[in-house]
Amino acid sequence: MKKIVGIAILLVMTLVAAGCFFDKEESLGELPYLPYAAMPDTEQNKSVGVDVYWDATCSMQGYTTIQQQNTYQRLPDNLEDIGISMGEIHFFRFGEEIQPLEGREHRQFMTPEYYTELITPIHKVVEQADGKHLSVVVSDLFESDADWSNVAKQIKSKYFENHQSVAVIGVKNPFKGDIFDVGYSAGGKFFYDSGTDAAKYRPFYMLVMGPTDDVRSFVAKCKERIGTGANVKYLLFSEELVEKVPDLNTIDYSNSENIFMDSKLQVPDKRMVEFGVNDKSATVKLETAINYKPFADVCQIDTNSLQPVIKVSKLENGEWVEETDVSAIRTSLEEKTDSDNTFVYNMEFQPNEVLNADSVTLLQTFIVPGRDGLHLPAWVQEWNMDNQASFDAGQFDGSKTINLVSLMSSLKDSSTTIKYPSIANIFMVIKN
Amino acid sequence: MNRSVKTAIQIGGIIGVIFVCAAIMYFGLADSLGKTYITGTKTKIIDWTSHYKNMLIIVMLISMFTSLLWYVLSRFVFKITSCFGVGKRAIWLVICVVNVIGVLLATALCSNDTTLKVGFSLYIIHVILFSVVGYYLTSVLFTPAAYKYTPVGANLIKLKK
Repeated sequence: MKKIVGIAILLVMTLVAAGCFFDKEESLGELPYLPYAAMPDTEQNKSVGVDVYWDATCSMQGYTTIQQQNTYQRLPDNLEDIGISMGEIHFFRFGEEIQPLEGREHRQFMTPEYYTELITPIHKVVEQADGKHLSVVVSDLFESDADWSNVAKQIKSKYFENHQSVAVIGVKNPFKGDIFDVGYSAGGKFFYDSGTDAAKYRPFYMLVMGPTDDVRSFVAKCKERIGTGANVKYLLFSEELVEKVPDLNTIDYSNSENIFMDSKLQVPDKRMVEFGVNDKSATVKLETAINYKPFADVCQIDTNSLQPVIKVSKLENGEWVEETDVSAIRTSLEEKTDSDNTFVYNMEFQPNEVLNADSVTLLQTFIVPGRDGLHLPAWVQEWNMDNQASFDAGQFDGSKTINLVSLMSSLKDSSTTIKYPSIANIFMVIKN
Repeated sequence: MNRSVKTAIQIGGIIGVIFVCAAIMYFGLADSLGKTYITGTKTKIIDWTSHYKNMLIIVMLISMFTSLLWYVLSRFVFKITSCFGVGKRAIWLVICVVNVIGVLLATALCSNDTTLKVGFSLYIIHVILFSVVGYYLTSVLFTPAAYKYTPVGANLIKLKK
């Protein structure tokens, strides 16, 4: 009896020892970056190049003539200060041509005599702007539909398609001077004097374009120097609709079934979380509770229109290849009534229907506003003037901007149709 | 075989059996159990397994200590002063209870670590491996001849040989 026990013990010990030398799985190396999502910006405290393009047309003169409560006059110094705090800054004046300015020449924008240009080709500025820099266009955005559609198209391809953002900062400022290209009489110019009545101040805008973090940083610094309130408005068009987009590192998924966190793969982005499946014959259920903090300066999100967009990709030859058929994955998204800004998102699938044998599968879920799910803030409509008024001096209101709703709608629609502006991103990678 | 060699073999047997139980647990069951326990948590299986190893070592040492304590008592301390051997079984039972409580307590205290989420099944498995097999079976197999029938049920197992 004891001999049998002894032999059995030795046998088990041998098997256990042999188990320690099982062949290890071959390493796949680092996975490729996430498709459909911006690469994370890992450089901390990097120096940002800020390029300010200033509209030097005659219509802008009027912002410099009234001294009281004049934000525009302080703008050259404020922008220089912001630019230096972010890295380095360069100023340009634009009209017929785009001319770089040297030294402190930009301070001449405080004087009416510096505004001598006749046309405002913002599309040329956007075309020339360096996509790696933060570009700021100071202008009254007095553009026709045709001119703006060209600008919007360029912004879409240069910024939104590259996961970058655009902010519009509107500032109502005292104005006394001529506004050109209004109506057909008097040489197409309109004299407007707001005086010191804040309700009559005329808006000018800063169009801020570039990497999302830089745009947000610029907006934050502007708020510190220029402030907020009835006469200063901010609007951000970005893929990131919330303060910090929740992902699987921050989202609660404690009610999930049949999946566990694993670490066999080298993931290039910490938003991409690796999971394993316990039982390949049982249903995988991911139940998440998503709580998000809306970003103050983005378009209002219609929570009834929120929907999940799922992308499934397989790793083939070192690249992600999209699977077009995602019908095997069942999802639901419901708003929690007992908690503000909280949604419950469920995803279920059978492993054998979605995961191929010996494969790596990436499942990306974006919780996005659906069609017409973003609404422009009320101030855009309040500051808007219809296009018709530009042809009728009798209807022209100097305290408003022609086609502002159209311009902002164009930016909004561009930002939502190209990529996936989302309130939450759920990126799972599974090695089968 | 002289008594010293026999003693060494018995001690080695006790340690070996308990060590094999721990190895079976770590290399055989821990991975699948861990994956079940960490479902829905933000703990990776590799981290769970790493923390579990520490718990396992403690539980294994408790089992070894109690099993060796019984062996040392029965081999070197107890004296046969009467044909009844009164009180030895009670001592065996007390050590058995200490073993079970120790295994359960160690499992409970170590699982206070947020990385080491465990289920009720782990308590059952630990008791089976480190109390039933680790203490009871080793005491049945390796108790010195003078007290080989002291463990409860040992006489039934021995007689079946």
